[in-house]
Amino acid sequence: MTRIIVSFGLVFFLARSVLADGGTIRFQGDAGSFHVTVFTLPPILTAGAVDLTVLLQDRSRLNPLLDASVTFDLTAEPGATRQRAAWLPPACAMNPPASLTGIPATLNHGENRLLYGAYVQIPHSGSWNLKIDIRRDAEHESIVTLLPVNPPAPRLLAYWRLFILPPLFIVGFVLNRSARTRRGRSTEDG
Amino acid sequence: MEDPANAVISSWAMPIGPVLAIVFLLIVYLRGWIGLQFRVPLRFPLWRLLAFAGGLGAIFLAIASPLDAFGGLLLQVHMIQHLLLMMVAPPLILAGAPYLPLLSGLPRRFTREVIGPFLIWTPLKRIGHFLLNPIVSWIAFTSSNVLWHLPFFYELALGSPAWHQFEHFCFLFTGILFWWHLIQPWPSRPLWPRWAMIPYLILADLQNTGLAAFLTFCDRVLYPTYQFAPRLWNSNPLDDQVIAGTIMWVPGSIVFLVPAAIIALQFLSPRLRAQTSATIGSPRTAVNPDFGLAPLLRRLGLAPRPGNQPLDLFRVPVLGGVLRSNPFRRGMQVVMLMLAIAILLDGFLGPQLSPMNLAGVLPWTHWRGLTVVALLFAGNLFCMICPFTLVRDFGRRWLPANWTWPAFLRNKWMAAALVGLYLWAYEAFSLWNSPWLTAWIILLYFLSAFLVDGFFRGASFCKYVCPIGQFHFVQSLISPLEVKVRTPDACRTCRTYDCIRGKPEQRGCELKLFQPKKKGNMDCTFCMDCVHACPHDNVGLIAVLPGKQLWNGEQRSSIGFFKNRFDLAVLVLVLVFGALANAAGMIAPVTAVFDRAQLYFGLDRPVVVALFLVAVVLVLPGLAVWTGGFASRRLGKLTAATKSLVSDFTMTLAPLGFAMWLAHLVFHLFTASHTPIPVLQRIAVDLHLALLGKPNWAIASWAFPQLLDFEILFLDLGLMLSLYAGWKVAERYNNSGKRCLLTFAPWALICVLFFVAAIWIIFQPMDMRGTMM
Repeated sequence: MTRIIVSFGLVFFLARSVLADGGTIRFQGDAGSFHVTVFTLPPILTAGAVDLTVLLQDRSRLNPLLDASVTFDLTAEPGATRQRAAWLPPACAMNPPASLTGIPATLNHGENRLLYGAYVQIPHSGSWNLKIDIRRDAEHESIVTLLPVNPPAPRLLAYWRLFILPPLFIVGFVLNRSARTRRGRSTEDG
Repeated sequence: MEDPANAVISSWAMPIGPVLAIVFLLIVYLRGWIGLQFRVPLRFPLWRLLAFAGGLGAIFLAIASPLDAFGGLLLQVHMIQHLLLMMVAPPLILAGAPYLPLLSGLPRRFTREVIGPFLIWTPLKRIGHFLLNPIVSWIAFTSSNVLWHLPFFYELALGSPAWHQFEHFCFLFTGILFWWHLIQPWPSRPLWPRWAMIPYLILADLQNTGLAAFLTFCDRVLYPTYQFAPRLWNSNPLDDQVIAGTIMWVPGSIVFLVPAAIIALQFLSPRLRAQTSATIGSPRTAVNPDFGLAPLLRRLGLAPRPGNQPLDLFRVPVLGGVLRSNPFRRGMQVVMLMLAIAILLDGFLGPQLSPMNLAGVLPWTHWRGLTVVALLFAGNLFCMICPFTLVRDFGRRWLPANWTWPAFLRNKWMAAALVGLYLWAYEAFSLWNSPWLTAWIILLYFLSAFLVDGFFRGASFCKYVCPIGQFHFVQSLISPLEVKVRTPDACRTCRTYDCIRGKPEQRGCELKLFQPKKKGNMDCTFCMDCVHACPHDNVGLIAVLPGKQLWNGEQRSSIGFFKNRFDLAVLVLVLVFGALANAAGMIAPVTAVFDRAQLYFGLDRPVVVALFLVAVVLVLPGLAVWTGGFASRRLGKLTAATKSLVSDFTMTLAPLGFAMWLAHLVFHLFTASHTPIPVLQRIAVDLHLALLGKPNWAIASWAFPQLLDFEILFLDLGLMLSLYAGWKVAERYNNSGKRCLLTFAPWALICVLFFVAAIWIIFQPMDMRGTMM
């Protein structure tokens, strides 16, 4: 039976936003026999590439469940505030972004193999509804949580670590030359 | 159902940057350690290598193992991670006495020129002395430990990957400072007497115990993250905190107190003290070359090369033999020829949708991408296995092959024009999107090679005509391998000159590169004819400093001085700015300009593309380099002609051009990596062979989120090498510091402007060529 129960979470559980290991817990609570925790990375969401992960546990003993099927649906909240489109790294090209519905979350997605996860390209800033569909055996549950997505960071800022290399090289080169000059002078003096 | 325990223990990550750094350090240490085995073996016994490797292993365990994956969910796991970084990795690394192995493991020139000046630079020495004062080290270690465990800072690190990495760096760095005085890695000298290490350790333990006791006995959860983190297997956050405190307390204290106890025992037992001081080898045994592991290393072929000779790939067992063997080269040429024939057939007969056709996939995506990767890591390998070589040989057999190449064409003008023609045709007729045209181009290429070398002597096609070869020649100036003589002395006594003249059973270099005077890879096809012709076995495939030939002002065999080769400079300019133009042709703003120009001015696309290329590849770069040459001459007060300066300095732009080609072509290689698979499936279906199944056009690729990072990194490296090469050329013209800077400044500006343009291009939305997307 494909009964879709959309649990907003506010009835059965308290959705909290706390920080996890480099990510943020966007949602935590129970749905049916599941206990669900949703993480996002980066901790402060910006339009563009986002890592979505879900920890699925059985509600009674909190054992991780690794045999479920999990999918993500992302829909923009209508009438949201001023939106700014994400800039996409070249790997995503000129072509329209991949569909934001029915994104399969896989267990071998990231470092933590207890988490179901997927990379998602959020096309613009604003509020987004994240719907998580969980199927396990005959049970089918859905959860919806709101993701506040900030405007994308300036491109140069996003890659500052790489852009700083040439200036660092130049500084290192100047220091090296200065050190060599002093060494040369001290050798001559000596 | 997958077992959660298995999932936990398989939760490993591979953080690219740190893992590369660890591997690099290990290789450098190992290289240095092997060398030291033959000089001071007693100083560096095997356990030092194992200790250093163990220290790096501890770091790897901390940042890549499940400890990292679960550190955000369980405080106890996070505590083990921190202990590894503070108390396990630093002492092990220092026990490896890494100073000398790391320095001697790096290339000698790099150590002497780059690191050497810093090692004796007074400000840096002062900073080192300050940090390695035992009081400063102790305070740094303990305050780092306390500060990062304060809830505010701990939460900060948990909430941000960048802060988390910085926290780990602090633990490791202050750990090295702290353990330095206890391990006292050779050749450092102790600043305090040995007994002072007892209170040093005990005081550190007191601080650690205080912090651990607070964590253990606190009746509330200190870090909100763990309060709200999902509770795996019904774990309790307060219990988790107690266990974390206990881990910090017990193993932590052991790490401090055991060494304190050993030192105390040493002082109480004179015999033990004598044994400790005897572990440092005496100089007499240290110079014995057959001591320790040296004989074993020699037997394994790991002995340092005599006279610190660079790596010669031909002398590497197995690989060297394969690379220099003619059957291997011929075999690879045959394979490439078969592939070219397959591409021709599919291009003419197959579907004319580029991603579905071998001619739309292999030449434009895979061959070009793999070529630049080979040039980056090795050298001109694709000329070595060029399929056109076989066709040339047929031409020589069936046609006269005795005409002399016209004198007015013995330069790079025609090659530069052909490269320009290729760039224009590629964009004007969307060659990448037309299997039929691609097939025709390959066919014409075969015909040209057949006719040119069928009628003319030598390798005229490779040297003066082939635009692909010219691309490889120029880019391989930045490659790390070069076909060159092993020992110049052997050539001085040689009177046969077989490397260039050849002998009855083996031809010499057809490109007229006389080995003793050959410098760099320009015009070298890696054909290995000189290798086989040399009667003294004195030609190798030798590691060189990438890009060194760009600033080398010496005369080169068959090429002369770069400063006199304006034609070569123009070829380099076309290839460098052609890289920019070729990548620009696939980004939205430029294609929009093409479309608008066609619409408003009623011009055909080939005309629009031609105007664009003339502007971007010829006029603007020409003006830029001529202005650069003129400005260098005036600012540096040089007597050299502007044309010579332009010719010399333009060569230094080659790394930037190569970086742009690399960024562009590697992008295509990764985003369309798997595309030949469905094409082969389609061909099998067309041939009614049900071997490979139905074509899966939605096949995955090797595209990964950090692809752009690598593209920027390539451009960074290209910019740095171009700037360095430009500086070295300026130094050659003007040795005085200020004048040298003024000579160099215009070229630095050109490099920076090129870099900015390249970054702008790779940040634009790009056309996914060669894929079904």
